[in-house]
Amino acid sequence: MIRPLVFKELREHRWVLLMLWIAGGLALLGLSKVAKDEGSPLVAYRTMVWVFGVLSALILANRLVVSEFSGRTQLFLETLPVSRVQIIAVKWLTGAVLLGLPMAIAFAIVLHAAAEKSLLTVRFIDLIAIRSASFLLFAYALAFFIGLTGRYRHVLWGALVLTAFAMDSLTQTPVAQLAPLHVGASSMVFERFELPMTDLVITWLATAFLVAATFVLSLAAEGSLVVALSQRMSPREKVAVTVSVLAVLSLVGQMEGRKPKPAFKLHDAVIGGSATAPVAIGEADEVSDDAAKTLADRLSADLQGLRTYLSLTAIPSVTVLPEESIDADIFMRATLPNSDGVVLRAALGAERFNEDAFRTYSLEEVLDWFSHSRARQEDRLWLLDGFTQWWSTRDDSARQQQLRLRAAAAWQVLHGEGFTIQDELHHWLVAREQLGECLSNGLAWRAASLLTEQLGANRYQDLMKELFGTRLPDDGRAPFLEESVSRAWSQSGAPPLPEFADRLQAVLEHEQMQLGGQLKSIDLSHPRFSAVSMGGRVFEVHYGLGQGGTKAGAFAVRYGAIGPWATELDRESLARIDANHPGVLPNSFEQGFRIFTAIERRDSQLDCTARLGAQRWEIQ
Amino acid sequence: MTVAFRLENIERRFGKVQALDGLSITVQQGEVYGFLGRNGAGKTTALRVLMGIIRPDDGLVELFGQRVKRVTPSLKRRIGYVSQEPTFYTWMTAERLGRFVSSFYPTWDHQEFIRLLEVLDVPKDRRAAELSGGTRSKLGLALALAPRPELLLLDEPTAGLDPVARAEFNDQLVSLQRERGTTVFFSSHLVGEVEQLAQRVGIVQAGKTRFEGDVAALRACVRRIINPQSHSLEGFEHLRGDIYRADASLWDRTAWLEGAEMQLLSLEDIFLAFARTDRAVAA
Repeated sequence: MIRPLVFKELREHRWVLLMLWIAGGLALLGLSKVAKDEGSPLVAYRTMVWVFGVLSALILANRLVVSEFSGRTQLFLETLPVSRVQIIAVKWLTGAVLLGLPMAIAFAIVLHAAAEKSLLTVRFIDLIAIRSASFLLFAYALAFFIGLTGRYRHVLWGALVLTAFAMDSLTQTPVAQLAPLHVGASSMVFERFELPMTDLVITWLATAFLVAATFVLSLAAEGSLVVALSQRMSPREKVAVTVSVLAVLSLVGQMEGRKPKPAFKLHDAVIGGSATAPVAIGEADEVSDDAAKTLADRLSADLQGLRTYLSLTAIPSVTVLPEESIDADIFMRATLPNSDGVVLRAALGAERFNEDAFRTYSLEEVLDWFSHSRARQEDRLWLLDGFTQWWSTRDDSARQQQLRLRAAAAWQVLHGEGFTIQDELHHWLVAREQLGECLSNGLAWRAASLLTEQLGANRYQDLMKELFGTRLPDDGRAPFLEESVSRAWSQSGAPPLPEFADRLQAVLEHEQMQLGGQLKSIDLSHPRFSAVSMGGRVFEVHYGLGQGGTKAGAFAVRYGAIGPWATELDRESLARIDANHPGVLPNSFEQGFRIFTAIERRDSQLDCTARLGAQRWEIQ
Repeated sequence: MTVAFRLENIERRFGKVQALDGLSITVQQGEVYGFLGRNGAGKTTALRVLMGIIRPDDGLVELFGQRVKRVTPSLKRRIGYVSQEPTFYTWMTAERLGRFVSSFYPTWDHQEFIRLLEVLDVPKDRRAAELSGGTRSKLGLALALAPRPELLLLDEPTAGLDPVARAEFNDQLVSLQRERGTTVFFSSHLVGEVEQLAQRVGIVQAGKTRFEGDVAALRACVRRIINPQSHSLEGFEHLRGDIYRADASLWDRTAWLEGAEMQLLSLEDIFLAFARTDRAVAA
């Protein structure tokens, strides 16, 4: 009874088996070469167990079970004088042998290769054989059982992976360190004396349970349960499964997102501010403890003031890491995958480090943290930029005057390019790209201070609370709960945005005239970029400032490639060349290459690095 | 005559559906028995019980003179079975299928199998996937007959065949049965087929046996009464409309008033009368 069934399986799946074994042979060849650099040739066998072994278990179970039941050929077998138990047992054992045989050959080959380089004792070989066989049998028993669940097998595999992920991620349970996975861990090919008996016993019990479950399932209701499971899903089932999977994924995502992360903690730091708004400044040779403490206290006071003004329900722990390798006017925020808080980096010890600008930047990052980055959406970004500039300079007339000058300079640059204020407010990311941080912050400040004048202090505060003082859940509900800018704007009593933009433009034109003398002494020459063919499809890019002059003073050229999906360009991704006369970029570019170019210049009157213009263009 | 198999008060439920509800059948050795019923009446379930593919919830199964709780492989070797929609391994040729099946039957006669393939016009070198539905049924018949079974169970073997293929299949079946004297139990919902092939017939409705006997007896006991007037119909079972059933002797004994008339019915009308009645009457 058994022989014809075995031959039938071998003949039916011979091509798949052949392909699988050829692939296994090639994999072993490749892995053996790689394993030479990994401490032991036996590492190749461990990788074979995990890759080829597990893959073979899945394929064999699929071929032996799924194809039989989904093809309904088991109905034919059942009419023959052979029992269901025999049919399932023959399939299970055939698969186990077909899995074990190539793995045993692979083991023998690897042992032969390792014999020259490693000391192979009988006990060591036994340990590897027991662990790998136990792990593979478990994987095969699991695949065989899940194969019997027919149309739900993909759902079950997905659920298993999701459960492992959820355990690992949500409960911090190291799944890879648990049996049965741990039985096949990397220690398998290094441990020479001890067997992980507890893990092995768990693996054997799990395998025995799966084998028993396989027979129970395949014999239940005279095999009709497996037959019913092998049918295709009905449209209703497909919808139910899809909805369930999405719901579970969403739930896990929510739980993952809501899992409280520990606050970022820096050991070697100067702590300042109050207990409710602590700020830590990392220790560095360039920054004295006193200076660090002063900065921490000021930042903490800013945070507490902001919390009161916007009625914020939470503020993060703020940590500042001194980083002397970055430019003095560059501030950066670190990403924290496993902890909470705002970690900023700046060249605190640099001569040109601007503490006021850094404090303003810190406030914007805190609001970004508070809003789960929703405050940085383009429709409200100019309001955020403007608010943080306005709030941090509200009692400082000297800084206000400087921001007024920056706003006038920004308008001069934009006006020269033919932009209108209304365009800029609508497409604030474009404005920021055109003007750089210094000038765009000036323009944002001017818009915010005009808005304050128009609305009055209380209504402006209410509008800012509405937009930036409400913390939304960090999930799919946020877009629905969020107050829209246009609605909040109209409810605040502000004039319609086009009208406001016209007033702002009038103010800027007026102040441009007022500050004409100062502006004239600031060189806001328009950058020039052109592509010059080097022959064929290769081009070089020439740059310069103003019309044709050869001397332009010190400036910096920023440039970078624009990817197909690039939206906002990361400042750090741009290359920089310092120059003081027209020149050529060091790279050559192929025709059709998309490039971003800008020229920036440090100006003492503006007290910042102003971007004089920028463009996205295609080399041709 | 010895009994080939007997089912008595067989009950079988699938969830909420009562597939067999006290089914009783007795089939004698060497006879051709037609098992007639509508789709869903319980024919396939009864055949699957006989093959041991499913077990009854209750009732008695007797095969080859012995009462069985489980149809063992040794009993299965004495039975040939052709299912309604034969599902073969599509990659096997007819001959390879024969070789595969032969391994399970010590009585397998491969020469006879090849002869049957030729007689039934089944190309032996063609894969099962390439065979038409009718040819697959014929292949199923050849596979079922090659071990020379004592009992041949056919589950609507001609369902889905065109009339020509059906006639061919039935002709072959009749001649093979005559040749060997094998007991044949076949289910069908085609009255003409049963009338042509069967010596005895069983009518099943909603899992119950409504009639069992030879075709002539069936035609004698079910008649239409036209204008019964004021006759007492005690002892007559009303089936449907003006169709009644009674022992043949009762029909003959009853003195009918002038004007009343009895009509003999075709087997098809009788089957329809049984199939469409909704009264549950013991056969």
